[in-house]
Amino acid sequence: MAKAIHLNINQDYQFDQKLKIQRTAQLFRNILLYTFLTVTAFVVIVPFYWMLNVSFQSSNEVLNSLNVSFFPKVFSPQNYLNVFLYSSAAQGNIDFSRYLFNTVLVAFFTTLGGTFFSILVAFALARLNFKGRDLIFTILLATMMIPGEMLVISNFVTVSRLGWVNANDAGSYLAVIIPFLVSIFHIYLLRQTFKQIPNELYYAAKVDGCTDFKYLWKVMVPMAKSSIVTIIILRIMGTWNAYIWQDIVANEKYKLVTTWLRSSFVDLADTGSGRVLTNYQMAATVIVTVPLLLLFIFFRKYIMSGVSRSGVKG
Amino acid sequence: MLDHKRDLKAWLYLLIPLFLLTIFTFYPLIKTFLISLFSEYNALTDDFGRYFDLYAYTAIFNDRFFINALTNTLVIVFVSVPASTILALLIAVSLNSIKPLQKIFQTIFFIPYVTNALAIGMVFNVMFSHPLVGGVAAEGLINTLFQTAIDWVGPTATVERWRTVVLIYTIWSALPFKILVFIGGLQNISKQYYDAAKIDAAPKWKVMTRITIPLLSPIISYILITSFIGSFKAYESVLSVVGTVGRSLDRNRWTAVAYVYDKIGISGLDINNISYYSRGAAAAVVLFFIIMIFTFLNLYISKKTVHY
Amino acid sequence: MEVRLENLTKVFESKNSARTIAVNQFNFTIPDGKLVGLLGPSGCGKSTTLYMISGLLYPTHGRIFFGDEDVTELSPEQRGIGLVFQNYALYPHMTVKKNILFPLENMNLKKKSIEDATKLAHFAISPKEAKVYYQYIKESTSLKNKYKRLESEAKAVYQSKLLEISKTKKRNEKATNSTSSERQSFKDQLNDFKLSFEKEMQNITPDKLQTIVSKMNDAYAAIEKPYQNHKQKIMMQLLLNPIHWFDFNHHFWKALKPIVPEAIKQVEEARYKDYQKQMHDEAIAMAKLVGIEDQLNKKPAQLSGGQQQRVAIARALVKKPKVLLLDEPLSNLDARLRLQTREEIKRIQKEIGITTVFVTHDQEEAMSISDEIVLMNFGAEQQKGNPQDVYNQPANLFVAKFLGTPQLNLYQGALKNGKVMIQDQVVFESSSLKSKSLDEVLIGVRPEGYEMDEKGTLTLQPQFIEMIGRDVSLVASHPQAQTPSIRIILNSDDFSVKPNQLIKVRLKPHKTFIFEKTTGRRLA
Repeated sequence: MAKAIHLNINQDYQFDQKLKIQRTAQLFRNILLYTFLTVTAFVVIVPFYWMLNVSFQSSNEVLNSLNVSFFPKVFSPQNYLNVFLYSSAAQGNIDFSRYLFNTVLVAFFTTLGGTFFSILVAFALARLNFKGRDLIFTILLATMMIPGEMLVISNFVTVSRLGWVNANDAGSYLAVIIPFLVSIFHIYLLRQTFKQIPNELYYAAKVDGCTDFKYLWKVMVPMAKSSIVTIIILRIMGTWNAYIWQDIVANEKYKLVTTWLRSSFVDLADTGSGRVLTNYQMAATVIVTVPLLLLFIFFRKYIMSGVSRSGVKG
Repeated sequence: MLDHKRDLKAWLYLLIPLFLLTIFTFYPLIKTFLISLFSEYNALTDDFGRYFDLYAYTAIFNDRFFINALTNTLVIVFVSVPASTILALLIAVSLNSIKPLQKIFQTIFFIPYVTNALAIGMVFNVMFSHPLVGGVAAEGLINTLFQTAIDWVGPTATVERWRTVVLIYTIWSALPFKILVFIGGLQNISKQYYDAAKIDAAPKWKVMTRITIPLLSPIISYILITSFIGSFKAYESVLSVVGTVGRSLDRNRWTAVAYVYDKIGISGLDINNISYYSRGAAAAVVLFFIIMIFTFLNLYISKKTVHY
Repeated sequence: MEVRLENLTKVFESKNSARTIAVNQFNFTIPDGKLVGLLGPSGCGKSTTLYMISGLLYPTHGRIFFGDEDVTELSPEQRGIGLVFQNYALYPHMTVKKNILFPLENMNLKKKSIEDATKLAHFAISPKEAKVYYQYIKESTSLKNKYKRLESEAKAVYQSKLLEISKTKKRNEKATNSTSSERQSFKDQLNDFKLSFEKEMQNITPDKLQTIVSKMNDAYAAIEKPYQNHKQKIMMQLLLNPIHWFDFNHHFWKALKPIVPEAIKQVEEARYKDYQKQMHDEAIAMAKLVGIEDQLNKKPAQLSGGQQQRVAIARALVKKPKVLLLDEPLSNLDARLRLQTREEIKRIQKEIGITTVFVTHDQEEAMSISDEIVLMNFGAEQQKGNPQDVYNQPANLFVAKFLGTPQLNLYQGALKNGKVMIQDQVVFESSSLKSKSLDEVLIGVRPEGYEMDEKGTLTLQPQFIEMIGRDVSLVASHPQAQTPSIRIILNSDDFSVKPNQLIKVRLKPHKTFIFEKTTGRRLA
């Protein structure tokens, strides 16, 4: 199977055949890459577009047309107003602003408390030398692997015995905030950051008569600012997106935004025919999604660096 | 003396957090185990009852909804994790090979991460919508685009259909985290290795398979382990995408976690005198063990194949 | 393989359009088989030059030739070079053996082997035609190279003309030619080249080339055809027996060997050879050459710095490149290892006989092993030549100062009528100075260029006296010296001095250099 010799009567010295092939291959590769990326990016974006699209459609369109159109025929921003003011009778006539208030409150306290504790524990684990430190750290690492579902059952019992379940007072808030106040993942992240601060600074501070506590707040925290901001943002995002736990334990009046979303899912039906008004649903979705997107736009660097760093640790 | 004092001071930092952790993490861990072993556990009175046995476990394995839930979960895990990892790897590698527009694409791919799982799940639900049986709501995006008239997620959707949608959604939302971590890893590979490979005349595909991927393998392993663990806990995503228009999820569509949550709030005993709570606890324990086994399996495999 | 650099220039432009000229019109030819050191301080452009030779950096101007082939446009893997990085760049996840094998695996040995064997077969089968055809190939390739070179030279001239025009425009003068006319003449030039190329090509193309090729192919096919049929049959037979699937090539070749026609035997041999084994053997041989044959199964992280470097050298050499490049090979090693390793490098280079260029900032290193050194500063060549020659006859102040430890002693002096004076005492005379006069000159004296002399014209104030066996190392001072203290080496035999006693010395003329103060150019 010897190949016949191809006569290379290419009288052109300027372009080496190989070079030309190389260049077209490069071009082809680039085109392929960009096409792939554009198509996948498009697929990623499509749900968002759809969300916006349907949210602006009129109820008539949504109910009575055979196919939902790709662009609203009747532009209906009033959907947002309706959704905003909506309150479900079945759920005790609580409207969006109440849910929003709940969420902001819970977010505030869990961020405040959670971050505070994370800083303390991370500091102790990273900087201080004490008996049992490595043991505690290993235990904490191990617990990171435990799925929350294992704890839910017992936690529910605990919380209900504290009288917080379905409490018509601050107990509901406590039920939502306290159990998950301490986040081991955040502690781990912060500890890594703290560990990167050189030992010499600590010793120099000690020589200057600085207490541990002061050192923590005056030196380490400012130096770890970006990690702390990341934790705060992750917390806020976490509270905003929390659903299951708060849905189980809190009284309706104290529930969070996600519940409102879900109940709007349920109840925003055209009461006449029992059909679901998807345009209102989508408007609700947009309302719930936008704040996070805003957060993302402003704090993109922190979020993305926090996530990618957690991977590089290996 | 000084040592003691120093130790004490350090423990002060840990005091409240550890206290909270003990009550809400360590204690429940053990208690859940115990509840699963006391089949007459009464949640209201927190009374363990008389029977210390494994009946709760037999109950759940005889419960077809549990087996079904487990199957649903396993399907999600074993399809979405490899698929999203490979796709994320491809995207990350592509992103890493282009310079212009790289940041823009990166941002676009990351957006799903910051969104509410519940919310976007609902969007998927609407995208795949179909006229309600009996009613005349409009066909959703997918049906319109592909000229089909299938009930994807509604009450009459077949198992394959709604599982497909759930998988699509799971993969879609799992991409951003993975892509970002992979890009971080890729950028950590020193350019010198690529230069050396150039001098060694390695063709592009060889550079990818013999250099890039092996050097990336610790990160790939980390992603696989964490996503396996995470996907076993799937619940909200399924709830929002294929949940019926009622607060709860149809029993046939339960995931393992859904099964557990369903049992909370049902006090009392079932027909076999097994407490629902015990069943839930047993299910949680079973899930835990499955996760453990797979994690150790993953670690074992990665020890053999990952290059550090 | 000789390496020739022509007008090599590299300009870096940073974001705020600050231009750094890293290498400036560097011209040099590295003779075949020699070890050449590029020497200079940090930032002088030596590494940049090295990387341009390797192909990892593309020059702003200038051409690079390997032999008579212009390789400037070629990518690194097409040039056939081996490069040892400063940090070795060993693949951390592969064993030493795999690291060395890696370049071999990419070489596609089989294809080349078959090509070479086919050529021989053609010569055996149809010698007349083969001779003509391959001669044509050879001539046409060198013709193409010639015209590529002509074209690039013309391009360089064209670009400099454009630069000139833009410069004159900037100075608001009227340019002698417009850009469009220059471009046109350049295009015409290219066209001329094309035409003459075609003409020359025609000259060397044998008549009826196509028929000659067909004849060759037919002759080959004639021998091959019956063999092919036989081959098919044997292959079928072998496939039937599953045992043979395991090492199919080996068994296949064994069965084919007796029936292969003599003429194409080598081609088939090349086709079924066990290249894995060959690569493996080559890798081991190379490992033995550099001295790490007992570390083959370790990963780089488990090796010491010196061992890692040897692996890097083995990896670079295993593909038998035309040129070997080393980037600061000794800088990562500790002092003891450096001496040992530089001898190793010299030994390996001599044993293989490969043209080698290495970059360093350590003058002792460069001087000790190079056949030739090139000193660079500010991106330009300062001096080149045999190390000892450059040491003995520095062309300028920079070179004189850079070479030699302890460092050259410098004095400020004056030149009056051809005589060099320090503080009105004549210290040096030379016919080459004739009767020149300069107010200020710099006088450089090698530390070993002094002799004790009662009637000496230079007086030094000693500060420390260190007796080191055979020599005396004297730290002294002189008011006209450029540094607070200077170090000189004297022979201890003639040395008898008490501290705090002024010494008079005479300068050895061949160790004394006179430099212009402003330019550093050497006068004598």
